[in-house]
Amino acid sequence: MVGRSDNVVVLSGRGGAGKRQPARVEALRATVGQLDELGCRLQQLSPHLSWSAQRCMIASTPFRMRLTGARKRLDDLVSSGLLGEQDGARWALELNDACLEAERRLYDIDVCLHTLQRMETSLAERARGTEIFASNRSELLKVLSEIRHLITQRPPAELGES
Amino acid sequence: MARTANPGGGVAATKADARRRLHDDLREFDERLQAMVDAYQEKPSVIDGDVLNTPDHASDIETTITKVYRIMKTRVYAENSPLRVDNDLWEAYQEQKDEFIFFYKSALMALETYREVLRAYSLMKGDVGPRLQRGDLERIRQDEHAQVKERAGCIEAISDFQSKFSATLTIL
Repeated sequence: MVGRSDNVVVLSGRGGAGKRQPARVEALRATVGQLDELGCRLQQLSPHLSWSAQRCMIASTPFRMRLTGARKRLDDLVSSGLLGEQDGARWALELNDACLEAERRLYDIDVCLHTLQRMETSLAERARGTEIFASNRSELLKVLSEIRHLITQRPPAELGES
Repeated sequence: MARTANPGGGVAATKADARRRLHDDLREFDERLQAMVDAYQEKPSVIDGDVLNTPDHASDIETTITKVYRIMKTRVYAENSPLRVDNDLWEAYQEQKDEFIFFYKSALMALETYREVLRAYSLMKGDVGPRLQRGDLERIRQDEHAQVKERAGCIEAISDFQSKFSATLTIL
């Protein structure tokens, strides 16, 4: 949306709209909460080679049910103007990179889980899928932690105080 | 009156109340199913009574499983579900729908199969001949193994259904 005041065009989602700050802080706080929840569920998920497709489906349900929401929050961070110009270019870039990396890892994990949940997946494919999952899981947890750190330690200051 | 002063607030309260009742009902069914699964795992033969006791009616476990399916269909997946106020939550449940139905069908199928096996086995056991002959023990052993194996498969399918159902509730 575009607002007009005399000859100045104010873009919504940019730092100029002071009234948007509380909503923005709230959105970032909600994002941190959802990513924390996703990370927590991911930590609890550790597929084993001996697991059947059904067991994998059941065990990964709490994680998968949080994927859509988490992806939306990451997308909001990257593309919907949650990061204003007052945030500092370097911080915004770092956060942007971390979000993109998280999205990539989420995609890879999703693909792995899809393989492990198929009944017809061979034992060899299952072994490979389990291995790749473990590696992506570890990397995703790292990048989620980085996103959390970036959001809570940098502007807007109010967020870090909560 | 708050309802007059803020009609929107009244609608929101009604929705929140519907959602709370749905949560309570889902958790109650989860606990009931869990208790049944626990009993079957502790002593597998307990399921035999549940499957055979009421020949003209659906068994207690089958009724509970069907009720869980119905509540999911009419109050969770339905267009007017109270969960729709939270779009992320709504989508998360919709994405799990096919998988949930897969576990539901598997549990029902396992129950129906086991009921038939158990009926046949009971008839066969009741059909006592004049006296046992050489080789009958091996046949009895094999029959017993077949029945016990079918029962284990049935309990596993019910347990999987309960676990899947329970796992979907963790997001609430």
